[in-house]
Amino acid sequence: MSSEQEWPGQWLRGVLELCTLRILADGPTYGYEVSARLALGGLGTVKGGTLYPMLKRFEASGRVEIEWRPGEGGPGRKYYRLTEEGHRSLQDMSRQWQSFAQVIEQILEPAAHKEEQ
Amino acid sequence: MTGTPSPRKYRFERELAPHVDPVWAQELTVELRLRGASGKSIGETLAEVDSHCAEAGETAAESFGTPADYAQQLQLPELAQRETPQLMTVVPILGQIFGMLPILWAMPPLTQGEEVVIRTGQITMLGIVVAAIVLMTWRVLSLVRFVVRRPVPAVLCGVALVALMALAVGLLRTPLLELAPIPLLIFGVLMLAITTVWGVLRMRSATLSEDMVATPLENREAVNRRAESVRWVGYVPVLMMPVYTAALVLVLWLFA
Repeated sequence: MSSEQEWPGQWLRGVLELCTLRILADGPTYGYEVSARLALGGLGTVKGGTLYPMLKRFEASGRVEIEWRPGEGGPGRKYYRLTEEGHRSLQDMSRQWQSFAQVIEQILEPAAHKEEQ
Repeated sequence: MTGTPSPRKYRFERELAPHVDPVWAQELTVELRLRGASGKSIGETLAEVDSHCAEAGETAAESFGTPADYAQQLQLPELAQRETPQLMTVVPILGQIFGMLPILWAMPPLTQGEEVVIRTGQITMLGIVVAAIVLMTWRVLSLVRFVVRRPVPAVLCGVALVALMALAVGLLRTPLLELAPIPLLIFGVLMLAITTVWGVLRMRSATLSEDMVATPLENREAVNRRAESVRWVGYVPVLMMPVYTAALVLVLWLFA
């Protein structure tokens, strides 16, 4: 999958929270690193104007905790760490997404679906 | 951005977010202040934008769009307004007005050797001034938002208010009471002096750094230094009324 691939905006809006929570589940990290990993994963460039308000919503809903750390030779970085609530949210959303993806796949492959029936 | 931003005008933005276009940073600060965000929240937001721009090598406008859009998307919580400081802000201002008006009313009769006649129009004007100041102080954030976002209607509202007061004074001419000018003048001067000194003392003891924009890793000294460099701004509204009164007294004296 190419990181240059451009996905429709409305698809990205639907999965961005889930993908960001998944990246945060690997350990505390900061905004730019999240956006770089989303791009590397193939989701394309997620603008700061989209990413940071979402991280702010995570913070307000208790899904992440924050910590400011001095940067290495640059400005300080705001690290986000997934809380218990965040992990629960990730699990619920992952389950929902897998069911949803299955439904879409069945709709897109009507012939295979009929054979199964 | 047009031309090179003035170093002095944007010195705070350069200090708080050195990797961000200072004009963009200032506009974001204003937008967030108008939405009632605290200095701490604004500082955090600027620091995060600065950090992102430094690492991504992009401008704030490229990554975050316009300051107004970004401020709207962030939905930062509004700073809780406290009742007591608002009351303590409005009382000295009202006191200064209750000092200034008797001085201005006493001046012309004093120079002509007459009694001061207080008419219904003057009392009505006083009522309008008190109501306007209480209303403005109570809804100060909404008022600032209105003035910044819609300057033409705001100026028209100001003109309408002054016209209303002038009409009240011009049309409501029924005499209510007569007073000797010298006691009225003494009352006015004392009232103005006491409330001005009170306002100055309040400013001197105020902790200005309380709601200053400060980034999370910044030391307290840097924040205090910034607060001290703008302390004089707080004295402007306090000293405006006595200066304004003195100027009007001079005009009344010269044209008596």
